[in-house]
Amino acid sequence: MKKHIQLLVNGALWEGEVKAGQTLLDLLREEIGLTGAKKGCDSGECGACVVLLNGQPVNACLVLAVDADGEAVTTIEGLRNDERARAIQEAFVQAGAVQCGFCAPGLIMATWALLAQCPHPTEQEIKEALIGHLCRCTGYVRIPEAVRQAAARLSGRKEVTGVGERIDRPESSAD
Amino acid sequence: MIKGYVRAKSVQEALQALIENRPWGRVLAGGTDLLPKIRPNRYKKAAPLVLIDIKRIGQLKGITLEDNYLLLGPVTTLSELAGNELVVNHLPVLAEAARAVGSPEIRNRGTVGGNLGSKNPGADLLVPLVALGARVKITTAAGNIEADVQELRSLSGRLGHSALLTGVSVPISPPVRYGYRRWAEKSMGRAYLAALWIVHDQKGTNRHNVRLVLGGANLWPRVFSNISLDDGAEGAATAVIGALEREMQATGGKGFWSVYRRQVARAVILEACEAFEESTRGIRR
Repeated sequence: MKKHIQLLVNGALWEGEVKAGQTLLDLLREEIGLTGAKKGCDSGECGACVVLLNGQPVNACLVLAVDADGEAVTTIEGLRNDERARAIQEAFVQAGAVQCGFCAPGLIMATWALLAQCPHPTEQEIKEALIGHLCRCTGYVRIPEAVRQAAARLSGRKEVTGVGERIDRPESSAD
Repeated sequence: MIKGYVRAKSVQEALQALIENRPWGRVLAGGTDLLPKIRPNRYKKAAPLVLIDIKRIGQLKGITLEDNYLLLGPVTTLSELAGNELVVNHLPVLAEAARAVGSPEIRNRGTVGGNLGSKNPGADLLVPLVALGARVKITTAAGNIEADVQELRSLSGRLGHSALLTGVSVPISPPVRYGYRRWAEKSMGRAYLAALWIVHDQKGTNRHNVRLVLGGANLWPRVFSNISLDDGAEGAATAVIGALEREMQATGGKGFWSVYRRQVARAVILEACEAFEESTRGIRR
């Protein structure tokens, strides 16, 4: 059984048919061609697939595509020109928090959401924000350091972002 | 295997869809528990499941205060619960338990109803809700059933997949002091065991009513009332574990209990007591 849905993906409208059991992650990677979000555990444990749904970080492997109908999805590709994301990426490189890069998009999305909500996070807040992410290369010292550096880079900067704006339309009827 | 999806706009629509799709209809709220369970490689491929999405049902959302009860909508996310001012002010133990679930990504999707509906005996919300004497409202095609949260397991077993959790109410008085600890086998996994010490101070006296709720030690959280702390936390933990073992021998539930589980239970009970002592000294971790 297929359903017709609409998504706002990185600010652009996407419309199409999706299978009832298809995850948002599979839709993004296999049909829309956005492979930034990675498929790791496929059960919400590794954080490699994290995207922003209406501005909030979620595991795209645990969201059905049909369930995201009418919502705004932001992937790592959608943050290409975002000032906060750029500062985070630079900090990750500078701190040596990226090696194979598989976990990096998820970590950057989670860091982006953390710093949006809490520009000066404590050690505990950083730890809690990243608890859902696994990294088998760099370990768990350089990543928090990268988040601290990113927060420092961003402090005092004024930011403008349109991430999380939803499709303006009446309640959809997917069923 | 997921064969169908229905987005319900009302409780009636959801119930109707559950009836029409019996026995394969499943309620979808956040999906953080349900979806990993029904992945094709982990579930019978022949099961043509139909997911009934209740997330957009307005009457199942939100948190309100009414007559000394906090009313929790079952599709309220765990992030909303953990950050809600009413919950933080009136039922901090519930906010703390919500914050202990998974990761921020999981809490942004996971819901109150999903946490209870997963029927995991150590489920983070279940332990404080049992301790606080919460009540649940379950809606079926025949009407509403209100029951103590303690009865949720037997009720859901009896009602099967044709009922919907439509409300949770938690009394906010009298205020309590508490110490909560949970232990999971993985860094952000489900709670394997959770312990909650809860103390009601009797007004105008120096007397206290101490209770311990242990989740994950049996098929459903177990409440131990009027606990004596005369022999310290160690003595209380030994008494509680001894009582559980006798109970399981009598009821034939011994298979669930193991040396490993007993050791973890002891450690979690003691850590929760330590957390309680720290909180009463005003040094929260």
